[in-house]
Amino acid sequence: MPNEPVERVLVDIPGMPVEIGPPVQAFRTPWRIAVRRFAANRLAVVALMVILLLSLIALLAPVLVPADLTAIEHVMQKRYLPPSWSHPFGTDEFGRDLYSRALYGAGISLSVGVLAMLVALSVGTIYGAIAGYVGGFVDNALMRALDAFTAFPKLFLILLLAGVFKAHIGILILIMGLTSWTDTARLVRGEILSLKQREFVEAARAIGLPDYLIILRHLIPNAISAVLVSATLMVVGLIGVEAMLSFLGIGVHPPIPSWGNMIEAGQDALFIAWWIAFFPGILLAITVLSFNLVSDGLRDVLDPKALTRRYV
Amino acid sequence: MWLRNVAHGDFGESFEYHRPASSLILERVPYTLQLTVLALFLGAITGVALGILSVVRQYSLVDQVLTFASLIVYSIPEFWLAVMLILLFAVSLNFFPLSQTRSLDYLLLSTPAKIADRLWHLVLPVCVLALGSAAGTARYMRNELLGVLNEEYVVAARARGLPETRVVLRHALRNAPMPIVTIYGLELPFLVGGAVVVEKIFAWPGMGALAVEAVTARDYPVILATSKIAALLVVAGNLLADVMYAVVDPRVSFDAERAG
Repeated sequence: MPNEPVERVLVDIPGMPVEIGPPVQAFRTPWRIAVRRFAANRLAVVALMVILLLSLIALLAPVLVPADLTAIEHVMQKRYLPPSWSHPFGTDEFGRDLYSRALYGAGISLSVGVLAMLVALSVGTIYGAIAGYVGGFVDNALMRALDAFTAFPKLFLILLLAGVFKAHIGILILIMGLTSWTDTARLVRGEILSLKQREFVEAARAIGLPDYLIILRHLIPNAISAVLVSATLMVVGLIGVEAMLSFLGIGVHPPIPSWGNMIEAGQDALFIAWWIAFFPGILLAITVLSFNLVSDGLRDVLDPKALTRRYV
Repeated sequence: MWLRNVAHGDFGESFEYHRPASSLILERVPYTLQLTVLALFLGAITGVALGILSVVRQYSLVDQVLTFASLIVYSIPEFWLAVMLILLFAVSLNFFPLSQTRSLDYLLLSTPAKIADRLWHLVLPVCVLALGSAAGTARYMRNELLGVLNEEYVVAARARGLPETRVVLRHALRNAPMPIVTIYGLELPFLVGGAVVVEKIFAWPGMGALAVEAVTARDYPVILATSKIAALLVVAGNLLADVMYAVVDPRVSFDAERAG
């Protein structure tokens, strides 16, 4: 990386004059180093800004487009209008402005993805932490149960549950979250297994800290950086799953707009109105691409084992 | 009693078709297989080839274009890609058929024309599936190969003055296939169970489409049957990946004594 200052390594060889590097700055904590290295990866930074911008748009959608999204009026005059200045993304079969719907859809798609990720992350972290910390029989039992659960194809399970429960959004989030936590659990368990051997955990135990506090205060915070990368990847996957479910008609149901069900509506009208399916898909692709780039950037920074790579 | 029947592959009668769920599924399997097997091979071959190409020409323009393109394709949701390809090739250009496995006048055609017609209908769905899988494989392949290229024996091979292409193909490539094998082992369930979205979009009468239909119609025997098959396939895929490890990498052995 061109702008990265060379880090000096002091090797203490007897008889050799010790080279004194620049004074070690007090604020070079691992966290700051990570931030600096992440900032050097321009693509990842741009991607992060895109995500932040999208989230902002999603949050402000009700202010940006005050029109009622589900209102249907003057259908015959306003339906299937191609993109224009007043309707940048065109209108759909009911004459609704697709630009406003796409902005609202951003909120739905992003929040479903992120919330489901949080559900999965919490469940997985707690499960993995207990298995890893307690060890022994409990660990064995928990991990075998997890293996059995993983044997069931995830996507299929989601499809099935979402279809059977005719889910509204809250339940959909729960279904997606509660089926996606297994990888996190494995990851956290692995981290904790190695962390609990360290001296600081022994010290915590020596001063009589109860087990649950050792897990919450000392083990989980140290394991979380490994989880972060997989969390961003999980959001990507979950946003994709939500879009797919909505596309198949078993996720977020109209009239609530989600990118997935907008594309589905567009597929039916492909011959007369290409724009209905086109724009939500572009937004979806940009979102997924951005999350992928950020997760690549995070992995380079947080995972010391990963090679330092200079590609996108 | 009912559980025993399920274990024996008798899932009962479909609510919607009033036929045994298992025969309903068996009849769909060939359609899914022709779609996914083709796609998987096409995806694997192009993916591996592109991965090698970009490593051999590392940091060149070709490499950068390939890497970025594969990331973009990788990020595009499959179903949207399918819709857009339909829009481009089937709606605008009227070049490939929109959906279904054969034309309306299929039964009137001669045998070679029948085969051609089938293949023609396969092009778009297979391309959608293969593109996604190729992009993923290419990314993975590139990562793995780059990792292997730092190994000492690769440096040694270079030091002997072997051309770079030979180094990559003969020395590095042999040590990279492990993760690729895993991926394809894990994709086995997809092979039969779930080109769900693509089947749905192209009105392809496969297992995935059947599963979605069953879920929306709450056709429980069929749901149950498809899920059981999918679960079995996941287990089989994991097993296959493990066995393939031993085939690909002689260091892995299931025989504990030999390994010790």
